Amino acid sequence: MSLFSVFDITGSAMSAQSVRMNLTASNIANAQSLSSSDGEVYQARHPIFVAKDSDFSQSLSSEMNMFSGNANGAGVEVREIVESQRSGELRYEPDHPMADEKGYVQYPNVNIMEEMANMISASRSFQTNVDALETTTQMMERLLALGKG
Amino acid sequence: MISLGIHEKALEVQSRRTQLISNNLANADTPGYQAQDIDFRAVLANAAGSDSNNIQLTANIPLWMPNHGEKNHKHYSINSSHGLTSSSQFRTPSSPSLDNNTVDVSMERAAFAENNLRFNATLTFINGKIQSMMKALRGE
Repeated sequence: MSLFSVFDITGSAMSAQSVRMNLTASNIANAQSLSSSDGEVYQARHPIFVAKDSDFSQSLSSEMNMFSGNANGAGVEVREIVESQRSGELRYEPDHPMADEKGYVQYPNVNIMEEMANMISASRSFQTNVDALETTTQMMERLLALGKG
Repeated sequence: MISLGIHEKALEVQSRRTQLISNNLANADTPGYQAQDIDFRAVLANAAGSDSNNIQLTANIPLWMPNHGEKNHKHYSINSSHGLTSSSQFRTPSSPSLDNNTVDVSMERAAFAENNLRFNATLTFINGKIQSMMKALRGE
């Protein structure tokens, strides 16, 4: 029954949105960090979302796998996490202990506004998937109660 | 074999549609994802027109399913053959986005709610049929 695969689909989406939320939290937390663990300045991290089985479902005729369980499309996955290559902010703080010889300090390339927008978007998408899951659960419960009046 | 008429097939199409729309919602933030849906009317008309006694045993069997021609695996064939042969179609985007994603979350949510309502309606119809059958059986 294809209703069961809705759990996989929305589950994968919720998990992907959690990863995104985690990264946003990490970016915001490190917005002022002057050094990360590897000695370089912290760089904003972002997830790359990819639709699962997208190539597969497009190549195979959908007539063939239309009603066979895990048919075309089965959620979303985080393929990789990339560090933003945008250049960060240089601030002139000659008294700072981490300033270079010209007196500049390299700050992370985290854009707080962008991260806030990302956070709201992730939260909304998560909520949407929870709603879809709840609705599907109700549908299945009604299906189980079929014939009982 | 009791006959629930078209409602049986309708349930399947609606389940399938739930899956497709939830997949669209799941991929609302995936760059390049193309939203899909099925034409409920066309699929159901297709299903209703097909004779359930004349099941084409090889119609919808996945290619990777082993030994689908053998007799001891016949139940696979019958289970996977519903006469529901219609493909999902891509949605026409209402407003293009920079990342080529065509999911309109509000539209998908509306479609999801509508599909849920139809599903419930179908279940109500089936329940009514079962109740009338029970009444006939009891002879009240």
